[in-house]
Amino acid sequence: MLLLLQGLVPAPPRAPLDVPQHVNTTRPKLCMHTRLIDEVEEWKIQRSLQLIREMGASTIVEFFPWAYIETSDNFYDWHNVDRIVRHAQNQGIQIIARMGLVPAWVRQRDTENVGLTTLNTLPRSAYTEFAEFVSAFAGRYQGVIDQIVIWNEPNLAFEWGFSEVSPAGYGDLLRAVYRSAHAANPDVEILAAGLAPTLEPEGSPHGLNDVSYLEALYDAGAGDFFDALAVHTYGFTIPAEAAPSPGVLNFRRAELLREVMVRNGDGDKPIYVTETGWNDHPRWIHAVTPAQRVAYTLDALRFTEKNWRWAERICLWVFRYPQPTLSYPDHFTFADTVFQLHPIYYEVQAYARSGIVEAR
Amino acid sequence: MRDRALWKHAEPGRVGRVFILSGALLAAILILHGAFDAPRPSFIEALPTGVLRVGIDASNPPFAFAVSEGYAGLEIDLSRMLADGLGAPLQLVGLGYDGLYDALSADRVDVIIAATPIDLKRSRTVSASPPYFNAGLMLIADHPLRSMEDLPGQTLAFEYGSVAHAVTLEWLRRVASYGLLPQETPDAALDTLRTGTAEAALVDAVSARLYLRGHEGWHPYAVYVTDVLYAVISRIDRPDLSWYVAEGMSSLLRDGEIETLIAKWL
Repeated sequence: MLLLLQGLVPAPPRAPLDVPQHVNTTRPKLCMHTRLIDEVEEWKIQRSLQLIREMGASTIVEFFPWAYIETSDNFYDWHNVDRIVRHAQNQGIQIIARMGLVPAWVRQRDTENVGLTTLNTLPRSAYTEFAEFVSAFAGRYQGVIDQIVIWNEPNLAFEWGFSEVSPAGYGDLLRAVYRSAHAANPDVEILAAGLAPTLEPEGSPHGLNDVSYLEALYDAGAGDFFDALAVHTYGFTIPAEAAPSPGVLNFRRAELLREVMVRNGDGDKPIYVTETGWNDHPRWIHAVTPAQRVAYTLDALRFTEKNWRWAERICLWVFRYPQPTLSYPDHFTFADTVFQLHPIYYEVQAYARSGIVEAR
Repeated sequence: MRDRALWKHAEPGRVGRVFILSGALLAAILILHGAFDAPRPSFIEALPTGVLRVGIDASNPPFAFAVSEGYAGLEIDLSRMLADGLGAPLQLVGLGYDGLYDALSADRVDVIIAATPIDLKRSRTVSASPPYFNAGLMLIADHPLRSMEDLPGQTLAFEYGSVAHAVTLEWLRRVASYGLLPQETPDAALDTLRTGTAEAALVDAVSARLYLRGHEGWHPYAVYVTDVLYAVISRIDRPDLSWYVAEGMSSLLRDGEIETLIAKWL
């Protein structure tokens, strides 16, 4: 009877692989940040990647949380990563991986701070285990995912587990990861984390100015432990081409980070802009109108193409959330949860595919 | 006066009613539970620091925003009223949207009051008070409309690419056809309704209320199509604190103070 009833249950939606695709684009640096790891239904991963390919972006940045994969000590569940990789390869899209989020089995060891930690609380005693995870990831996906970003915005207190932000501490994390990741995958590029654009002064409980943080990271001797720098640079309410200035948060602030690299003898290291964009919420104080969002984004892409030869990729935040936040972050997206595409999608697509002669 | 027609019809949607009833039931259970259990500590005792630390996001007017003297907005006033009502000193803690739940989890704040919708996915880790505002989508028209089912044959304006757009397309699959008039912003969608180009508009409640503040002589009808219920969020492992917050919010709602507060800012 049970078998009979099981037979009546409709099959879950399937996502069979397509004929292998490639990205038809005239803008090879164009990249999109995705949020695929939280998708329950595989077809939504596939649909997202199809749309990104059709937009003309050849690379995505995706988050692969340690907590989701190494669910207990030395037990790795690669299922969710594999299905994203499978569909990205099928669409001809490259992946830059971002690592973070501490598993429960690590957090539970900190019995003195029960109820006071977050998924971003990484005790120093767990750096080696995190490094082992990164190495396992790097080895498994060698030749498929060769750029790995270590952590996210460690210059913000909440991203550093509400501990005092510490460039030296983050430098130690890079040091712990670097050699073992390269041993597992000699081709891997370890990217120092994108820093949050912020003007927080030294001693602030919220974080530390991104330019100061990068300078301090070099002072701590961490320059030898990353191959490239991830950069987060948002335009907020300012047009793309506005000149950078230490006291201003704008798109070209990335140039100030680049100057720090040059001053520290790292001018040859590549930069990956792994997050950028404008927000078009009607009331958020850091937002612009939808028309301005389109114009500023296209200006930024043109500007970087012409002036930022050191930038390997320009990754726009964010393609789509699995579920709406029901707040202003939804207005960073290029598609809503039901895959309704926003005007900016078509505008960026027109830019990325200009000059392409479509086959008949 | 402008509220007469609009808000008379702006009853919560089905989900909203379920949440409100659930909140009342939860409050009753908590009270009964308290009657047979150990004496409840005072509110001050339930606060780890003896101060009510409220996590706010001061980038989201009119709910919270920075001013020269600190912070202002609906949620700043609400935080003060809640703390006063419960007899606790108040400390406002400015946070970014991304850090709200982490701050709660790391005990940096006791509650979040930051246009935070009740989110069932988080119900294992946080408690939500009775909601203080419904920011869901509203169907607005110059004539009475009961729901999206009444739209066929009419033209609907909405913000292109917004949640309203997605809901509009969803309803097109359920009912007979109606005309679509996508606009660049919620205000532009309401402009088309007010000037007679569209017969109805679908916009979020905050945009609708702010628009009406600028158009005092206009009195459309409105009904909620979706519910986005803003509530005070606390940790589920702090049941006493959650109980007091729920009691405090219930009292403010019962006395009409929340309604007055909303009318002040929206």
